[in-house]
Amino acid sequence: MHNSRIITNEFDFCQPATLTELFGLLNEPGGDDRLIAGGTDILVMMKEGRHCPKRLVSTMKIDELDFIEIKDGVMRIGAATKLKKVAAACREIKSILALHEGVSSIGKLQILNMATIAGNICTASPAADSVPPLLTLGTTLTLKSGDGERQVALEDFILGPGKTAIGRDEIVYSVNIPLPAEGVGSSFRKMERVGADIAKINIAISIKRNGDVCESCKVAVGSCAPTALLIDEPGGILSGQLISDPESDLIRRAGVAVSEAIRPIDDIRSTAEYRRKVAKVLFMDVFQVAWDRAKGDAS
Amino acid sequence: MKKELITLTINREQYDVVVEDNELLSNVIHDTIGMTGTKYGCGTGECGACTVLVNGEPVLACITLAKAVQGAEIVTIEGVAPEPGKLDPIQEAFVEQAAIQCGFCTPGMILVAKDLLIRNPKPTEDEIRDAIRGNICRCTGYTSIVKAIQDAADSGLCCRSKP
Repeated sequence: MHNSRIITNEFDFCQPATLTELFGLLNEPGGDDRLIAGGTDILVMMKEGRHCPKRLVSTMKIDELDFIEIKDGVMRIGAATKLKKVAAACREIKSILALHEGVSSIGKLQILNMATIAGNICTASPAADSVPPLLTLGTTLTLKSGDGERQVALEDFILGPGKTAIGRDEIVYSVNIPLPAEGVGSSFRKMERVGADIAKINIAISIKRNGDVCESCKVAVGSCAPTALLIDEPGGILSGQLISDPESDLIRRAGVAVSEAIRPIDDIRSTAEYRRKVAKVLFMDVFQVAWDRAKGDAS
Repeated sequence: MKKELITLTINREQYDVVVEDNELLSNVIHDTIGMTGTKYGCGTGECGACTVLVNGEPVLACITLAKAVQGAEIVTIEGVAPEPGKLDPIQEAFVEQAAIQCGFCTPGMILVAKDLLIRNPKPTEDEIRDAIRGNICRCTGYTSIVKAIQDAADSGLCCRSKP
């Protein structure tokens, strides 16, 4: 039984103020460093004895990592930007409302005031609520190290529970979201046991609509495989189709395709059977909302 | 482990405390400084009993390292009242509505309400319930707490200045 009042293992806590200082620390030989941002996941894991790093290196005093900017149709969010700020920025842009909904549902007020966008991604939880919306939007990450930088697609970055493609001396610098063109609507939903809980299943959708024709449709589902999944089948079924009724058999068929494409398991939060059943219903719900939003955008 | 002298600004006063790198803000406030209003509930960021304001925003002290908040303005429940012997309008409303039973969630609830009413002086019931969804109360059933926050908002007295 762990004592959740204290952290028993000893570590050095470093709070560099600049990226140069940060990369200097990460490049020291023989280091057992663990990057920490808001700490809302990792400090709990350390209390539970699931992580015992010798050194914690914080990104939270580095002002260069706290920004949101829109340039050339891309929204770039600095790694250490807190979720409250991210949620507020996304609320203002209609085509990425799914990201506002996903980020807002990551946790309660206190968590949104502490946790960061890169932290939610790098923890690499299959249930991370920011990830399905980011996947449907075609998000890339800019990774930086002392030697330079590289771009990675989000879907190639998260490899499994707790595993990412980040190098030992690298950090996530920014999260880059291409803002959709006119006529795009998006939506996010999550099934949870109580408010501010971890998702049994979460889903995001982004639809490009032209009149009553669905031009394209991107869907991502979390908590139903080792990583959140981008699911192609609904796009295949619905692209180019006339949607006369958002509750039609066509949409139902796309929902069934979603429930067949996921790879859920039985675990402490839910069962595979429940997740498959509810995936279809959630798909139909988010489709309806995003479809209506896409129309509003065009008019 | 190395110990370090740091200065924390709590309720507008400075406290010099010796901490280790793995020490949590909740324990420094409660045990080292002796302000017992900040409660240790779950210790895992679920219950909200350890809520304090850092630079005006509610955060969870049980998953905040003490060294991370050097230089920040920290407010605990002890710093909410305007002067000794007086209560903040939110505290008065909690007393009036009997929104306190065992009292363990109360400091966190009041600090979250304080932040809410500064940001949004006329919240709806839904907005109040959303603001306190990270604060668990096992006694009241929440109704009296929501009413107390609504009463404090209606009084128009509690949102004028930051604590």
